[in-house]
Amino acid sequence: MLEQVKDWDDDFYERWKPIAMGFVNEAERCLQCGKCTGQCPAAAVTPGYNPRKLIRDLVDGNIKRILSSVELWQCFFCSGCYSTCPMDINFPFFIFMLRLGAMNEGYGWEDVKQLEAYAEKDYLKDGITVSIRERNPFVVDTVGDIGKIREAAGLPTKRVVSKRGVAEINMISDLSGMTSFMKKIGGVDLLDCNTCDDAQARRCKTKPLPSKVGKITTKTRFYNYGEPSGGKTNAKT
Amino acid sequence: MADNYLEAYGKETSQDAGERTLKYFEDLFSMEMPLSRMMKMMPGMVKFMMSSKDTREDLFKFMPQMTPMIKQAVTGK
Amino acid sequence: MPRLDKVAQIPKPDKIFVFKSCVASNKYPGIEACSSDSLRILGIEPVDSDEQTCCGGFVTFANVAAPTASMPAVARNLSLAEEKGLDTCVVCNGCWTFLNEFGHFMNHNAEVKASVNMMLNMMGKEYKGTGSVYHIAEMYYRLKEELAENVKRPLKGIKVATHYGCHYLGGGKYTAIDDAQMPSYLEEIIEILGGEVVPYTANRECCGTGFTQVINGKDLSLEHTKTKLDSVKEADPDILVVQCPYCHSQLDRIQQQFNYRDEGDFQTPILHIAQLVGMGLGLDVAKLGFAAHVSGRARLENVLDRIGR
Repeated sequence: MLEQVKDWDDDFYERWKPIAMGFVNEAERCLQCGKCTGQCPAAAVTPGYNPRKLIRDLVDGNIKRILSSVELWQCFFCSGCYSTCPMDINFPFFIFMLRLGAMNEGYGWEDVKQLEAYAEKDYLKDGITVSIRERNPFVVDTVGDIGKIREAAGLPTKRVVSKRGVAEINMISDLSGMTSFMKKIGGVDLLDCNTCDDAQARRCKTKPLPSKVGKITTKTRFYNYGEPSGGKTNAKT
Repeated sequence: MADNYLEAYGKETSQDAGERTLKYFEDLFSMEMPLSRMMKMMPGMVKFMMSSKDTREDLFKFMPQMTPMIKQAVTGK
Repeated sequence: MPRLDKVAQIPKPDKIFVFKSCVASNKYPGIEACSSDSLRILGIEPVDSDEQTCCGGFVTFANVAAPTASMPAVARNLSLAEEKGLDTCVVCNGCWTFLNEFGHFMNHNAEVKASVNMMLNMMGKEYKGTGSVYHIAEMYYRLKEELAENVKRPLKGIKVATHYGCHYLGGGKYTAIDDAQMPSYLEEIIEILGGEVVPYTANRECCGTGFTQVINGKDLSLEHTKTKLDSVKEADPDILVVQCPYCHSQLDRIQQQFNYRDEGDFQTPILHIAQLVGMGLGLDVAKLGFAAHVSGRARLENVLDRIGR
């Protein structure tokens, strides 16, 4: 793999820093001490995930490996790495920004697709991200109607954000491009091998993940940090 | 299907991917307000204006501030 | 040991803007009711606003919204408190870091602040960056003398364990009132309320929600929550206190899922610090909202029987 070294984008990180408005900085100070990985909850449950390696690859400019990896999407966003880092590298922000970059390359849309409803159906519609509807039937059995509990606690039956408030966040979303971003995510087809029909299967033979998001073709991610060989197995999800 | 990420990217180098990513972030965080971007904002503002009476009043109060910005965007100065 | 100089900087205002959290309002209403009422007993009048929306942290870090969208949303929510000339008090670690971090970012980046303000001006608002954001647990710690005076229902003989959650101590490494690795202020509050603190091994572990992992990578999330719950079960506290509604929801609901799948028998009631303080200050049992809790309901009733209803 040595010849691939030439392939790295050496100054990517240096050029990215000023563009990213201070969200990503100080990675060049990384000591490679591995404290972040030592206390990482995601690293504790997945052998492949390793914040130290991700930082190293970013600073060295091994962009393809980072952006196409499954590991990028395994972060718990707990900020534990930041709290323990001797050089104050705020790693969760790197993950956040790199995920945006990976989506631009076509990776990770299937994950984001599952979360889009929170923004579209709850955050922008009611102003509250987590709705009062309970999806888990066992919880409904135990708890019953949350509205009644709210009344008993002396609160209004339903927390309502005023119409004005909802109109304002909708305008913010329209003006800052969040709405069009969400429309892109809404365009992703999620296909599952267990449930897909014949027509979908036919499309599936020609394209790995049969969907296009605007100009972006969605792709499957790889376990780039799981195996030393560079991830032969495709990610299933 | 590609076996690993190097195959998936084919002949594209990290430079190409990096270039594309940098371009994406440049667009995302751009502070400039060209005409195309301002036109994209219009539907949202109209929707906000139509939602109630007080939102319309607030938006009209903002008009004096907006006119020079539109002028600048149209003339490109 | 909390950083006392930092604690001393927290004001004791007459009024404070109470920022409502999504999970606290819609899943565990007891937290919302207790936070307002306990602050009132401690001498701070809570003020809220219907216009306040969610902090937007979830949709941002779920990568559904770009940071360009969440910056004005944060500024808008903070400007609601600034209009009234008040500081903001939040009940959720997520809201705390998100409002703090993005507010801090805008305060130190004039260009971004100007462009955000342009958008806010359209709706007749302005973000100045004058107000601060405090977590309710910080406020309780600041008001610990008042808290000690007002205890009506001492938690005598109740074994309480703590879970701080990640985003307060980890994300706010320099703004939080305590050390990220060895925090102790919740323990102090519990002792003031008359409870008995129980240590357990996995105290500083994450609850396992992992932000979006509970939806996207359920296996990872559950594995982590199991480690946490196993350790809690070993110490066998009567109550596990959290200070984040999202941790609350994860630890509470996943216990039932494990029990259902025969992966252990977990019956530990989870309480938010606002509910624990509310319980100590003698709030009406209906106000505590225990009916919304999923796991350890029998044990919670038993606790109430022991300390008096």
